[in-house]
Amino acid sequence: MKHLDERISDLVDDRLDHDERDRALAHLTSCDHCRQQVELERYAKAALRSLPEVAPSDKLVASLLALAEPGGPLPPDRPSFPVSAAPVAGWRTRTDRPAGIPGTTRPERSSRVSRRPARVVRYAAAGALSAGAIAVLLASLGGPTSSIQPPPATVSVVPPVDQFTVEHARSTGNLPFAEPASLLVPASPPPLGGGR
Amino acid sequence: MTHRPRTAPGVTASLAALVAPMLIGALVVLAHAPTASADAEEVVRGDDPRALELVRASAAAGSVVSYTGTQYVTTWSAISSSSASSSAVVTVEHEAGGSTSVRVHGGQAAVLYGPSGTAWLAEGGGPAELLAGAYDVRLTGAGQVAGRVTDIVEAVRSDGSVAARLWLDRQTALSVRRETFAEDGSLLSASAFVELTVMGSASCCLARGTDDISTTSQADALRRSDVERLREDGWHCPEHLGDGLVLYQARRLGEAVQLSYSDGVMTVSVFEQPGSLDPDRLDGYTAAPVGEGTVYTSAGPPARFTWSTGERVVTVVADAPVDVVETVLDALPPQDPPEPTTDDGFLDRIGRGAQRVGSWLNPFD
Repeated sequence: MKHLDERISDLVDDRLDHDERDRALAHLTSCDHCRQQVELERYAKAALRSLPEVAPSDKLVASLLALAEPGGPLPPDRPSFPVSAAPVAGWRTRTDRPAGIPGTTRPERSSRVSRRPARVVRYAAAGALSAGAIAVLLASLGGPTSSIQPPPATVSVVPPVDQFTVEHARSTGNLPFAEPASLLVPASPPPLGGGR
Repeated sequence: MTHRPRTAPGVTASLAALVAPMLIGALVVLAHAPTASADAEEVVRGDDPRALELVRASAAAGSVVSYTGTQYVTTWSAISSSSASSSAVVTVEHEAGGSTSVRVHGGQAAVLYGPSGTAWLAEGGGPAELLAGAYDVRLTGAGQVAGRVTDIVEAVRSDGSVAARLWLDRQTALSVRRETFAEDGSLLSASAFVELTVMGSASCCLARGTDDISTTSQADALRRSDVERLREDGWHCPEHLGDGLVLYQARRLGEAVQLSYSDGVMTVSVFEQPGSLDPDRLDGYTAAPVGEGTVYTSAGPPARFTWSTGERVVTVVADAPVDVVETVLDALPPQDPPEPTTDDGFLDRIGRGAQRVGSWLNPFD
């Protein structure tokens, strides 16, 4: 029996057309396995929807936005001037950036400039890794629904016609007026020059 | 009505020397046989009671008579546009109430399924009732075959054409000579015993040569309940095909199912198996578009047809007029398998996954 597999998610998400939906529902009446898969999918969908919305904190938003800003002081190894404690790794937010901070001398700015390409590379690498992880996750979700049995593909076959012919002849054993011998005689090649 | 016997190629010189005297005898018999055409003034509707009696006795003869003999067989393709034909000498051995071994000279033997190896599925009676139900049977005369006196019975279609002519041995009721005809009167097959030895009913004469095809078949006989179950699972197992062809036997051959139909004389087997047909690996078949698919034909004889329909492959072996195949095509219409889709790319799967997550989070969905 061919299971619904990929069509389970389409059925749960109501993406099947009328005829496909009817066929899928008819299949569910006799297939416990697919019925369980449909229920699991519906449960997962409902659970995801029931999760509360999580709003990011203002500081996180600001930090993320600041990543797009050019420049900005690098987090020092040791704090040399009083700065407000940043929630993550000493990053400064835009609002935290002091206009004139004691100690922000030209040498610091030059070191900041010289370390900017490295930071950009780090952020780019982190972004690429994150994007890759998200892509793998989405690809795994976008694959066919897993099932106990692998989804059966329509197998390309060549019927064993000679064997079928012999079996047909053998099946006439109970017919006293049929002619089984004719079925067993190999066909002769057509005469040269065409038959008719 | 025309009667167009065709030439029979393929007989070796040695076999020709052996059978020539017997053929001459057969020709003599032919000269005395009544004509096939039915004079309108002599057409009798319905079955001749005496012919029915002989047919029933002949159908039962195999259960009480053991015999061995040599037959000369000629067969023509059911596809009228093909002139293909074949002939051979065959050895037949039958065990009373058991199976029949048919060995084509120079080839392997095939053991036909006897009563014990099959389940008779046709309702309404046995082979004699099939014949009487599909045709009008008439006693048309007497003749001689292999030195034995016979009664000649004809099976006549409703249009008056003769479908079969049977020579029934007067002593044993065995069918010792047969001819079958298409609607246009052309021969489909002809066979005659050139020598026949009848044994006692207790005699076991079935040869068990080392080159026999094994009697242990991979095929399993199916009962009516099995056929009902197949129908529930979506297999198409019609009770009838065309006019008079009745499902009388069904077997499972591995993954395939064989359905055998007959009207007592003509026989057709329909094989269904899961999968899609790979035409590139068919050799010697002619392709013809039919409906939404393609039918691949081998003239044979016997004529054979194969095509894809949905998720299955249908193969028909027909020892019957080819219009029977049209009824199978109507029941199982050809439908070529879809072109194989390219493998899912990674981007396709990412897109589907994003769609799925999006639909879950969409409050409006």
